[in-house]
Amino acid sequence: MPDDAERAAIPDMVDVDRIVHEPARLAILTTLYPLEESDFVYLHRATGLTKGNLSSHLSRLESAGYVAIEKTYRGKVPLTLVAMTHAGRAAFDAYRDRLRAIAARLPE
Amino acid sequence: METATPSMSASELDERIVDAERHAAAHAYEDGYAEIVLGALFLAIAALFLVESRASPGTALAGISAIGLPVVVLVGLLAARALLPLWRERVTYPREGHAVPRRKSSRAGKAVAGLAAAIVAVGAVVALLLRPGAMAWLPALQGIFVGGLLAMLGARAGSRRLVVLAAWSAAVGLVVAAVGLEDAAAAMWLYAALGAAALVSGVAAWARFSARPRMAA
Repeated sequence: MPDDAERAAIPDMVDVDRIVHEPARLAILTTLYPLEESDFVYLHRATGLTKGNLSSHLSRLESAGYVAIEKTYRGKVPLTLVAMTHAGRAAFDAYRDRLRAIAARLPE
Repeated sequence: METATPSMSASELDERIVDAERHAAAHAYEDGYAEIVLGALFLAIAALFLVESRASPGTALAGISAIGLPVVVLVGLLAARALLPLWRERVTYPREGHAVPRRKSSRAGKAVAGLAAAIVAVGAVVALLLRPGAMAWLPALQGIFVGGLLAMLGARAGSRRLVVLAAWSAAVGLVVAAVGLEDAAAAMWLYAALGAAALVSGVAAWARFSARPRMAA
């Protein structure tokens, strides 16, 4: 039977931000967190996601306002630049805080 | 907001962020270009001191480093600043991508670090001028100073190559000072040894980097 502290942690577990929580998107946001910006190729290599998968998760993050995507050119080569927005950084920080709060309430 | 149950602990996430930060910092040195450029700059400085050490006393060439050193360093740094991005845009970024780490240090922090470096430099110069014979240890100070900068970069980027280069710089500086060569010859050997080591390290890093397989889509 869970004690009071464990019971209190359970609603927190259910209430995490799923846009951040999804493993591929969490990998993207974790990679972007210490960066000003990166291009698509760097994210592709750093996360190990396929290009299609990475592209679809970036679109999801962009529509949530968590990343900003700029499509431009480097010479004649298309270049996709990705940066975490303030909202994305705040959501990621809130997600980390939520995980810490849950961990603090659970028994060792 | 959509919700779900968490599967990763906070400490695991913190570790992954630290890993991502190290990866981004190391990314700038993986292609070896920085060491190749640094090696070339050190070898140019060594060439300058070689000319000075071979020049007859009293000739214009005997004092060439006084004017030539700032020129070589300035031109080298400007050329590196202009050429490195071009080089990387053509070769490195299409292969490995490009990431810009967030700047952590504040202006106040930079000012304090600059002031501390200036105080140490002035203190070292005053100590060298006041003690006869202390100038012989100038190569050791230069080697330790360059080594300190390389060690800081290496620690930030998690690059073992840069840390080894830092140790090499300090060791070469101490050895050259201990041998007791004439000033220009000592500086020539110090920068030649540093330049050659940086160049070899950079070329080896570049060879490893270019041998890596490209990722499939």
